[in-house]
Amino acid sequence: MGLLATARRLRERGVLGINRRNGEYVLRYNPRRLYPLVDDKLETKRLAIEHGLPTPPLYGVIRTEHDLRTLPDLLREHPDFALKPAHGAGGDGILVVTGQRGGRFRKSNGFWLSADDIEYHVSNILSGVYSLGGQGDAAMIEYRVRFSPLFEKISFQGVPDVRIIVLRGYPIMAMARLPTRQSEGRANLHQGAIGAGIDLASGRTLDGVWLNGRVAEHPDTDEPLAGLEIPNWEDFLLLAARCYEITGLGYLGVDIVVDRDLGPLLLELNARPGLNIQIANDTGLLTRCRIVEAEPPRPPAERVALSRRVFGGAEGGPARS
Amino acid sequence: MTRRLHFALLVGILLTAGLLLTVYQVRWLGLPLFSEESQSLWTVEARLTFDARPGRPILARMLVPRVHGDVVDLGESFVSRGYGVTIESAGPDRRSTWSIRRASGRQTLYYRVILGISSRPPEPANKEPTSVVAPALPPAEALAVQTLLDSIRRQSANIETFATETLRHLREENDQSVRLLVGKEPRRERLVETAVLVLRSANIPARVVHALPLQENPNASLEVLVSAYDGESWLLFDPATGRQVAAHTMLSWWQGEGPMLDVEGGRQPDVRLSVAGREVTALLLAREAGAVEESPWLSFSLLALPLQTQQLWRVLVMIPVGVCMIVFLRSFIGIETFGTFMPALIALSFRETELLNGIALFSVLIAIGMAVRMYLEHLKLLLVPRLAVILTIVVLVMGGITILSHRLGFDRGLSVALFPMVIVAMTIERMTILWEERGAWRALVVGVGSLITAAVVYLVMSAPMLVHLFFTFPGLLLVIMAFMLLAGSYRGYRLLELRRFRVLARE
Repeated sequence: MGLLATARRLRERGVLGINRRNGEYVLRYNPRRLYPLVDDKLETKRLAIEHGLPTPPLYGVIRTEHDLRTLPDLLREHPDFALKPAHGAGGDGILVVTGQRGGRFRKSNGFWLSADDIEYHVSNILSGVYSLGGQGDAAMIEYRVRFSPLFEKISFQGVPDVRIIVLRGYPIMAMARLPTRQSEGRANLHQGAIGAGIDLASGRTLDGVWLNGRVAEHPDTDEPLAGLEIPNWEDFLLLAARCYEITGLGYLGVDIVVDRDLGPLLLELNARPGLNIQIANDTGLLTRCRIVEAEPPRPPAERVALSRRVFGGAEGGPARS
Repeated sequence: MTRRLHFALLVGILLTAGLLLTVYQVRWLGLPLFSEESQSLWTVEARLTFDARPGRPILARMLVPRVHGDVVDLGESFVSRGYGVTIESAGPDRRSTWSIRRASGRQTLYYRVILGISSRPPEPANKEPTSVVAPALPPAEALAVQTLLDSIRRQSANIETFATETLRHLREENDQSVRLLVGKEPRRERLVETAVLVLRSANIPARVVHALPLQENPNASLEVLVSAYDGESWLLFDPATGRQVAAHTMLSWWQGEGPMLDVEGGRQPDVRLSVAGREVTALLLAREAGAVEESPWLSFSLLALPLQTQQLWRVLVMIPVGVCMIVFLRSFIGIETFGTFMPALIALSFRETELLNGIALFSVLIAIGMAVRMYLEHLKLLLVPRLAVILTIVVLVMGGITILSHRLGFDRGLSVALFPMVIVAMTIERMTILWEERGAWRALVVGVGSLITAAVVYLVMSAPMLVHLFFTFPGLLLVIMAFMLLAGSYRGYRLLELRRFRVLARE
């Protein structure tokens, strides 16, 4: 297919490109002064707690090299935890420890680390290695999300999560992000995780995208990606929709993780979410954005209802009844 | 809607202002739009030497060229320690006289003139005498000249062909008339003198000219040429070939009686001529010749700056152009790079290293740096000291490359020191992080993307045509800015996105 034909076809299908996403959505709906709310995961967590949205409990924060002295105590209290840079982007710098034995720490991929390794990692985080502008950062230690059996068959290690794109508070597209051997347990598409589309009406998974190509089975488990029904789907959508009110950001990527015991938890927010979700759902975002932009403001529950009604069905058309 | 209008107006104003300024400069100031083609600038030097006779005043006279026509005089100088110098007219020529009361030993005097070749048609010279007094000749010679003239007239159409034919006839040694006029196997001077005689007999203004060929030559000598006036300008003819010689390839030195050199109070006078050429831009030449500087507007332009500063600005004005290329590559193509403007800085250093060497040196630098960085990973250093170590490593590696390439006689390698060290160090750090976090493949993709971008930016920034355009017409930077604004409002797909989303384009 020629380039022009491809461009025309993509336009017909309402595929959103980076330039348009940045120019018409991110720059337009996301005032820069609100960015700290989502760039700083601690801030996001504070907001979530303040508004009663479920989020993984925070064990402790290390802001300075001086604070490092408190690290051993923190680690002793919590045998398993997730260590994250507060300003990390794209899942970089996240260390998940699933257990400890004899002063050593087991990473989610089964490798063992020493206390020194952990301290070095924290100090790297503090010096800003993983933060966007390279400025100083804080390391947060929080509850390690327990693997829910939900996505067990279609993920390899790590913690799968659900990414929902929310425009003006209306959920417009969703996908499950499933770790693979290649992504080393991380749920980030850039790092080789699979994104499986989710039908907004039913909460049922569709085929997925892996490394920019479409896949029907998980490459490590060989299980089909499609047809998995996410329980309490309404809760996910409502949680995502409410993030609009608490942050004021009009174009958001909401990452929700499912915990075995605590249910859906708000993990982090993204002010410029990636576009591969379109491949995962085999649908363009732009068409849906245009529909939502014509809608008046509504309370969260009504927005979710509208989204499920309008965007249900595999191709983004009306729901099949 | 008002925002769109505002935007359209801004772009429109920038475009109009930029283009109008450029049109003004081209149309009214007469700055050349495309002629960055270089032109020759000749430095002609006459070195006059003689032995001073002790106890006597010295008077050294030498004919010096009167510069006119296609050749532009950009400055004369007389270097002579202790001598007084005067210039006077000597018939059709100029004579310089060096004088001193007392001197001893070998004396060396210099006359130096810098010449440019004007790209403009020469202004009509002062009215040259058009009437010629036909020379009076003995009857036998007059008859021989007449016989030649009859034949020449039949075979010529204008002054140029007349002169060419004259010289051709004079080289026919078997011709009785020619034999009478120039003798057997004539010297060049004799040939020229006779040709002038024949031309004058036909009422064509003609003269003998001693001219210097404008070619690189450390040991040049004057050539004797025939010069004939065609009603507009003096044409030069080479007696050896009979062909016309382009006026801008010769410097007419003297044409009168001579002699060229005459030293009173000195022995063994000798003059050595040398011609050295260098290439300069037409614009520089125009400015040096004072043709452009008349406009007060230009005294506020980059062209009015000292040469050294101009060279700097030739680089600086190209930076927005290079950055504009980055905008294009990112917004329209979708190439990823380390840092937004890092490729522009790398491209600047490519100016010295040249492209392929630059890419090779940069890759080697990054590769060695990354190897060291990966080793440092085990030492668990803090970020800032780690960066400092990498920076030091970069300097050391640069030093190593410089020494090695010097030993190997690969002089381009010496310019490795011009890479911005801090940028290289940061690139090594970021590439290592990317390598660890996203894998080697991504790091390579972004690394190669950065290099490609730097190469494109370099090619654009160093294109002589573009450098000339943006340096001479800085108004074009407004046009570039308008393009950047437009790129900033481009909402369509990037080229690489078409590939990325191609699965969505299936029917």
